Amino acid sequence: MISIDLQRRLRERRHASALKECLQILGSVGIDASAEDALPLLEVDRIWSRYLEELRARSLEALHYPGGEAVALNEHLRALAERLGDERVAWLALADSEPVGVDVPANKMLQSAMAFFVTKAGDLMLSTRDARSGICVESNHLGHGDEYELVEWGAFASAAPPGASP
Amino acid sequence: MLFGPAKYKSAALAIKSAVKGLGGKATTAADKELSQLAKRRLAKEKGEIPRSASPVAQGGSAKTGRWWEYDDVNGKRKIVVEHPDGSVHVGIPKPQSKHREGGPPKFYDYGGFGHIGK
Repeated sequence: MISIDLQRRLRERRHASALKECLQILGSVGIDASAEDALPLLEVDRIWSRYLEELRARSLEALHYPGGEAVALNEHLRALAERLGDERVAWLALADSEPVGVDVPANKMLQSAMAFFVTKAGDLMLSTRDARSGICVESNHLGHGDEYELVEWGAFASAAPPGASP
Repeated sequence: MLFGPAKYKSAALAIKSAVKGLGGKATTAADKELSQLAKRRLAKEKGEIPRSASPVAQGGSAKTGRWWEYDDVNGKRKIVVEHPDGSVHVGIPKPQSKHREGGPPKFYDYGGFGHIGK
């Protein structure tokens, strides 16, 4: 059995590695972010917990787009990007199952969402620090086929976008 | 020279032995169509889940499909999903997935294997 101190150090190491990967991803899509923009581990855990609670509570409000209709969703995200501008939000990402949080401009993340972040292997999750506002864009392979799912609340919420179904 | 059914039997044997000679077993239609159990076993293998591993949790319905959660060789959680159409997948369960509460299993694709066993 390993000590609590060792567990903490291992977690910090995993987190540092995951953060490095996430910063590389941001850099590769042209979004400037450095280690200074990373949220501290304790804050990441706190936001993740609240964000997931909010997201799970809103699962019935999710809007669904058939897999072949990414254009309508992309248009909606671009309009949202324009409305929010460069307001700073937390990008929540999982790298090798390790949660990471990075302070990023909302508009750039939303503009790049469908091209880079929303894939079968990853969701786009953005949140304010208190998780009272958030958005999650997913690509899922379900029993009936591929579909995109959108959940947004607080400052991210807007009129129902076209092409979606509850 | 052979005539009649014996000729065809001989030709079939020749093809079968040629295929074997190329280094593999003769492929039959039955081999191509894996059973659901075989697909799920293959999914475990692709997902780096020990063959002997028992599911940590399992569930599902005829509507959403069946699912089994396992811990892989690195202790990371994986999910094997069998959709109602018989397609089998392996992935990492999404933290927001409500499959344990009866919802459809949502997972991050692992390894890009798509429909396993097809």
